[in-house]
Amino acid sequence: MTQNSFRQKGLFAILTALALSYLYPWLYMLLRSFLRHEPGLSDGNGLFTLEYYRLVLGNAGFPTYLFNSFFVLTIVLIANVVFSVMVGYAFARYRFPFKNVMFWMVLVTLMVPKQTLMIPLLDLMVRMGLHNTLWALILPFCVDGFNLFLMKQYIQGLPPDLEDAARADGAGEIGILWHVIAPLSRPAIAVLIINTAIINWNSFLFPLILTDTASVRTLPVALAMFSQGPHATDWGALMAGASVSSLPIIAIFWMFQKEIIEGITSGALKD
Amino acid sequence: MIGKPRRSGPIEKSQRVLLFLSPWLITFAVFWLYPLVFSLILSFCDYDVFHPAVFSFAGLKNYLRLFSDGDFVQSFFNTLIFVIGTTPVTTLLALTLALMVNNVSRGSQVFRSIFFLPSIISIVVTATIFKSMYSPIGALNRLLAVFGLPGQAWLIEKNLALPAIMVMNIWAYTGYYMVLYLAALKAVPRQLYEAAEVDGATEWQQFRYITLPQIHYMTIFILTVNTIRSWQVFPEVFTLTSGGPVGRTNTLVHHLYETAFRYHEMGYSAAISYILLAIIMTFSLVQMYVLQGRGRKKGKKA
Repeated sequence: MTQNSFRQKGLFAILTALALSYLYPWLYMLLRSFLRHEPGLSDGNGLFTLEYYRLVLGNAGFPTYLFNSFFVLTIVLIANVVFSVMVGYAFARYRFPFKNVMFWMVLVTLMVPKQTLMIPLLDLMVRMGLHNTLWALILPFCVDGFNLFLMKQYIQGLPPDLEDAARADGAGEIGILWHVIAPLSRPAIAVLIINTAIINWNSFLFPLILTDTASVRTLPVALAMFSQGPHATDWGALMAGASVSSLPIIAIFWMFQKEIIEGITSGALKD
Repeated sequence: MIGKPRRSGPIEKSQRVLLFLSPWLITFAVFWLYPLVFSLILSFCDYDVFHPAVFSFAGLKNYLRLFSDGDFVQSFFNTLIFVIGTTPVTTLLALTLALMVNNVSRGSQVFRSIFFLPSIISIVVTATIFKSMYSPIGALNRLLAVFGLPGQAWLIEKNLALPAIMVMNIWAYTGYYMVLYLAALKAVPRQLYEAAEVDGATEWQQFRYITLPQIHYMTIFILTVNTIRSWQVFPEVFTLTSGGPVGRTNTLVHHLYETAFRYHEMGYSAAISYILLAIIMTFSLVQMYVLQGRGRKKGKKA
């Protein structure tokens, strides 16, 4: 028993040390963003400052990037929920020609690296006149193979009795989708939202190549550009940019950590 | 057109199926199949999106060039080093963390959240923080100074830059795989351990002969997913070093990006992207093959 408690203490100590190494960068980010640290100010007076946040939220335009990221995410989320339920339902319940081939293609899309599609997609957006607009960051991402797979699997597992009852009551297929399937699929939709939100909010490559000007940049791209621009070694400003980009997510994570971790786990374990 | 209509007429039903499938069909055709095919065509051409007049057939030129392009060869081997240097470490660390978090009696949830957090934050944010910590006057050098060790120019020194990015990457992603391992550990039936204890098995034996085989498929899943992700490493390179110093951190996707958007050689860039596709598809197929094996085994048991 004493040996056991000794081991528990050791385990706890190691984990605490590791946890500190995981917390340190976030603390560092916060401290550096609030503390003045120009080499000239060695007297140590007046350390606390909001000037970095003023820069980031003012001239550096982070409110615009926040808005852009949020706008893109909102539409992509709504589209993914609606379309995944629709398409997932069709794959789960209808019989139609080439169904297996089509579903196999859904899975194949997941295996192809997005970098291979990058140049033609840019070309397409230039031709459609959508290059350098937020729509270029939305349209290609409104339907996602993984989400379709998730919804199809989930809907397939639902008992068909409720649909049949609704059908017997004269409900149309769209009514069934909206009033029966969607409410029953809430757990799967939650997983879908968590996964899609994290991927979309952090997406970097496509927003980088599909936009040119600051007014349509999303947060990750804006922060990367910021860290290479004239403020490249202005660590206070960079850390303020990093914290503006990450604090909303950290806050949301803190509120829903259980749901998010479970969502991520069941999202990754496809079957 | 349509098989086995339930209540309504066949035509109406097929229209409905088409309507329900249409978001997928359109996205698939316009934003996946067309780009994939066009990318393949481009890889045999000279092209620049922003100067569409320049569009000529180049035959195998782009693919042959890969072998003589020192930058491509360097980026390939950089990425290979990155994959070999991070994937096993991340996986092993994730398993170790998962075992510890799973066994600690106090604060398990808190530890789990702390380790997991970096994996849902944009890698650009993490890279920005590490860029500052790696800077010559940054936190890392100050820590070394406390122990009387000399500071290093982590992102500028030729032999340190890639390892510095690898360390950051391991830090950022271990928690995600730890969470997956935790789920796998929770799924191991408790009776197995109880039976082993009755038989007097040591803890190491329990780990070796019960835990490891039980989470075997999770290990394969994590290794392949991790490998696939690592081959595509890009935002952290873009943020931390832009491929420098002297190309030592130039990875495949970074080279692909530079070729397309700095040198505007989009045909050549498409050829590189097909090399990447071949690598990723290989790992995807391996993963699919092995994990399908699990489905078959489970099916047999049932």
